[in-house]
Amino acid sequence: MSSTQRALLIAFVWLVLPVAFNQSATLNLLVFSDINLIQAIGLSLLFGYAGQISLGQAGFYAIGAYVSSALALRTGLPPIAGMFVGTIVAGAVGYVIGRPVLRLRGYYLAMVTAAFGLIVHAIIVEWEDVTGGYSGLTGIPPINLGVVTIDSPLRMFYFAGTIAIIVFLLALRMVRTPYARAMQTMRESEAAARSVGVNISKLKAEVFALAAGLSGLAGALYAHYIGYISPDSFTIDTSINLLLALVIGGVGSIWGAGIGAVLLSFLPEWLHVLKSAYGIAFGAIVIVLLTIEPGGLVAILVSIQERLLPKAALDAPGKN
Amino acid sequence: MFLEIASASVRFGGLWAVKDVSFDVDKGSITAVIGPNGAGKTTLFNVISGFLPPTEGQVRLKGRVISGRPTEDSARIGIARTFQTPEICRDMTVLDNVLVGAHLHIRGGLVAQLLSLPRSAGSERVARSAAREALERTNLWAARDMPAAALPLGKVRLLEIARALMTRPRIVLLDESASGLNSQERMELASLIRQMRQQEITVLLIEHNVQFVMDLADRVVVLNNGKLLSIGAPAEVRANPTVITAYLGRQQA
Repeated sequence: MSSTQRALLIAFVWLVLPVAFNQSATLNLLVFSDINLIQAIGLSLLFGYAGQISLGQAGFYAIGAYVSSALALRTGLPPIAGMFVGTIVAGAVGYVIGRPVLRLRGYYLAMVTAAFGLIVHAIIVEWEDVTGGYSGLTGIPPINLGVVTIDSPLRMFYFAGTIAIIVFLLALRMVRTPYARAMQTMRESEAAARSVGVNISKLKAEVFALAAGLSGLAGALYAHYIGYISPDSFTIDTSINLLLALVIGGVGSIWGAGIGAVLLSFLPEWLHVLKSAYGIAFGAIVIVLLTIEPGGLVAILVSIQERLLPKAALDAPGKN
Repeated sequence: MFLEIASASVRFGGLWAVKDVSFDVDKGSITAVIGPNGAGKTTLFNVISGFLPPTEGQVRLKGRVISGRPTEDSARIGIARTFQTPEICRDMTVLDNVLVGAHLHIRGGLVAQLLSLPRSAGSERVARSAAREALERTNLWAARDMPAAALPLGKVRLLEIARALMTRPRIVLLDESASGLNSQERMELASLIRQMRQQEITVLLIEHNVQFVMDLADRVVVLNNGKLLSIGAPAEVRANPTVITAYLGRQQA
């Protein structure tokens, strides 16, 4: 079974899940999984494939959410167009700040991107006229597609799910292109990439813009789904949790991003009984898992599959 | 004149790693750069390959100044290189490591590649057949699907050469490509370098093994303490008393 066939099969299973889990609580988490998947794939391309860390994805998530919502509320722009604008604005901001910022590496890049997230958070708190400050924006209209309004969890599950699956399939295709080959070379050796003519600063900024745009798209979907946004949804915790989820799922694998996105959405619910100890449990899971298998859950799944079906190893999901 | 190094100097803080080095390189020749450790050989290579701007002086290719340009322009100008400490992508397959050498020859951006537009897909096919040829020339074709991390050092050095050839270079800079190779591999490397000369590729190489250099090079450049000590045909350089004192003496004693 090829990687694409596997992806289509899983996409089909994913889309019939609401039949079995149609209680609103679970359905709600499935919607969040769709939304998180879109951003997790962006971060997977940026961090896992191009090797550039970002602790500021919540900043782009916020830009997508606030641009789309504010346009809908203040100018009456249809949410579907606002979503598009929010995605483009987030991507453009990513490109513009990416050019200078991505000269930094490792810890420094982590700190600067985290600072970017904090700045965006500060701006949405202070710029009350547009963002509503601490009280946020309420009454954000749902997405209207003309024939149907995306005003229920089930409809949003299918709408966001369709976008997520398209992004997922495109990402699976992307990681096999020459473009991704240059990204991976850059991750492992900038000197090698430069020596064959890769324009490092341009490539980094492009991938950063792509990840930023996907976070912006996810943010806009979130805003039009929930109908209410405030600065609390876009803190540095949001950024860190996304990164940790990706690491748990498996960095350097689009499938890992998928697993991470679902866990990011469901874990808080599953660990709900722990109340304030939730953070401890989440942290413990990360530490234990990464000690056992730095490749994350996807690497564990691959090794189980290889043990059960040695021949399937060649098209194992971890390869993409 | 093909390649000219004109009074090139590089200063690191208070130290002149390369000081006022000038020499010319003919098209399609093999030039060896030798000298003791710390003589400035790799620094000189970094200047020629665009990884370092010279503090003073220039590098010219066919009369055009090429020093001080952005590093990533080197491949486009036709200068490819390998690294003293190999720079490979350990997690990628041997084939992918070589394919990335075709970066500048792949047509179309990401969108064209995602859609497999004909010109984009066509250029990737050309790259794949070039990669096969480069891997066969370096005896790495059988290892194409292995992760590069699994290769021994000698093979890694050949992998870097294969990648450099994929850029379709006019000039190739080999930084200690023979070190870590066994005698069989060294002979293969020598014949590979001679083939490159036949294809009018200009080769500059840094090498510590004097016999290897003497057998292969058309001209030998000797550096010592960042300065040009001697330049000439292998036999001339070998006979030069200053060179013997500074460097070769140790091998000939």
